[in-house]
Amino acid sequence: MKAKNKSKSTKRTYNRQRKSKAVKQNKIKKALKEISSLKKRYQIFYDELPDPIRTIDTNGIILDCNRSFAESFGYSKKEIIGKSVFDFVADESRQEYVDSFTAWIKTGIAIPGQSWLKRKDGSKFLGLVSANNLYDENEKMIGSNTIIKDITEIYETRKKLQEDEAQIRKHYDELRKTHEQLTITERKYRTLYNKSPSLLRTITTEGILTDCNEAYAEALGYTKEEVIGMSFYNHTAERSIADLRDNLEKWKKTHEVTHQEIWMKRKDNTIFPTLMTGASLFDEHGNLIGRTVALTDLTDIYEARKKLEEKEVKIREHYEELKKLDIAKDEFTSMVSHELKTPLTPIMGWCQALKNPKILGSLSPKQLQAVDAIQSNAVKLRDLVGDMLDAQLLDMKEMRLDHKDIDVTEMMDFLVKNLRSAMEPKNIQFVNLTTEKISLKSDRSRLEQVLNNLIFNAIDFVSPENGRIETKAESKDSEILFMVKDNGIGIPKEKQHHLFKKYYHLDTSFTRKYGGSGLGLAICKGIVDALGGKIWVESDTGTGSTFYFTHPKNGKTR
Amino acid sequence: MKVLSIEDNADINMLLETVLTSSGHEFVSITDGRKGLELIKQNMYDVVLLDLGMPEFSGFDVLDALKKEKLMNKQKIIILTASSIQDKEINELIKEGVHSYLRKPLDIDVLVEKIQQTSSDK
Repeated sequence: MKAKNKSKSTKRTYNRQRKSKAVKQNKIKKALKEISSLKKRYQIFYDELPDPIRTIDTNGIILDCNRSFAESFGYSKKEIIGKSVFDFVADESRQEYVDSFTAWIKTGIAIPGQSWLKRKDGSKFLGLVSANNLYDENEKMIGSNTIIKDITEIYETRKKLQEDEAQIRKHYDELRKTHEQLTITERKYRTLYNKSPSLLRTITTEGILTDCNEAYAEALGYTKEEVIGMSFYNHTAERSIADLRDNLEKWKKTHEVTHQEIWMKRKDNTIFPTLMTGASLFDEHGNLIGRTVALTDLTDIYEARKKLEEKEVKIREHYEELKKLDIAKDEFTSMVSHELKTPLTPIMGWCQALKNPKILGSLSPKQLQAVDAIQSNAVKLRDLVGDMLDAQLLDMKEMRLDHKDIDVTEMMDFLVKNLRSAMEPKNIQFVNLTTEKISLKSDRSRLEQVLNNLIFNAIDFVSPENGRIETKAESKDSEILFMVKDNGIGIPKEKQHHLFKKYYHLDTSFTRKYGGSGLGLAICKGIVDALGGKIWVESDTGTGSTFYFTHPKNGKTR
Repeated sequence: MKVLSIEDNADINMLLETVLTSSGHEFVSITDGRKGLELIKQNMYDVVLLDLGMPEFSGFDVLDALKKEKLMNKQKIIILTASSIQDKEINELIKEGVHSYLRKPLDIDVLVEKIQQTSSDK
């Protein structure tokens, strides 16, 4: 019975065992079935995941990838499998990618990172790469599943945002600066307005004061508080109210403040002149809202002007007086000259009569000497008076000229012959170098006067020994050139331009030494000018002097 | 020749008288222009010396009166002048019948010569 039992037990055990094995097998079957289902689900999940995913080994060879991945890179799945991960990295990210891969192999830690990746067609996109490691049953890392998210759009947006932000920051900085400057300007303007020495006021379009500076209030004798709200007519003198009203109306039409003289009225009713200048104020829509004007106190200028006018009147009176005196002087000179000439007639006449034995009998030699002295001095006096008269005429431009045909050659001969007697006492060699036949239409007596003056001038200054005076007339282009040359002491260059002025001698000792009115050369210049010519001297100390003057052939004279 | 001098300056008249009488001329002088004019009208002289610059009744007045009465050619008139009268004006007077002129101060030799000349002029 025991065996039976035993076998019964074994059978039970066997059954139990058989039963458990079946269960086990069932379980495995079931598990496998589940695994298969999971795998299928996983594969579907893997394939249909919207994010691109790939599976790589530790060499970086792609073992698998999903559809999204293939689409993202523009390849077919077949083309991708077996390629290296590096084939999908753009150049600019290659080094970084290699470093990161190397680090992953070494440490087993894959740090998510951004890399520029390239598609089949060469285009690029920025991918966020994150990986999950894969291990075998021995926990050895065999690869990873890598999800690559295209973040190009995010990158672009962020970049744009950053740029926008920079732009906004720049704008903001500028605005802040402008604001700061405005604040400074406003403060400056305020200070300027308040402290300006000009009288400044700001009014509405109706002339009501909304602001004024310290100078304004002070000049008018008000406090600033009193001034604000007053009409500007209250500050205007009666005489300027109409002007100011016109000014206001014109300004409202043109928006331009016309400069105007305005008389202001102080609190104590005293008035003072100002010059008003100003600028219009507009609101943000461009509407005229008022104006700020500067009033410059003209009191000083007015007084100065008044003084000037008074002075001018005085100067004018003075001038008129002088003019009268000048005329009186001219008349006096003229009268004196004539009055002097009249007594000269008996003086000179009696000298002549006394010297003529037929008239009053013979004189003793001593008496004759005395008469000679009287006569020569009378001649000098006559010449001086004549010079004064001529100078007077030239001054008044009253010398009238009597033009006639002149034989210049004959005139020169005549002069030389006439003056030879004046040369003899001084032993002067006097030469006429004129060779041409020259005729001219001119005033002979005036022309002779010029030549006479120049020759007598030469006699005064010619060398005391071996004195030589040359004179010449020659035809030159459209003019006749006259010359009087001496070998005397000469004239220093710096004194030559004074030479033709009235009453000029080289120095005063000259007059005493050589006599003469000092008018001779001035008269020469006056006559030559009147005849339409020019006169000048060429000389230097010690080399003698040569006087030249020209006379136009076609007498252009006054 | 008979010479009349109308000249307000007595010293000049005395000089003229001395010089001209010594040259054989008859000489009469008068210092008043109006009276001088009357003497000219009487036509008793060969030459009249007429001073232009006399007070009250000047030589110009004498000439104006003669011109008015068309008596300019009645006598040979030599005018004497110290004024700055211009050549043109003198020429004008000569055209109107004045014989000639002399400027003061006088050169007595020239005067004598001039008076001698008038006797040969018609």
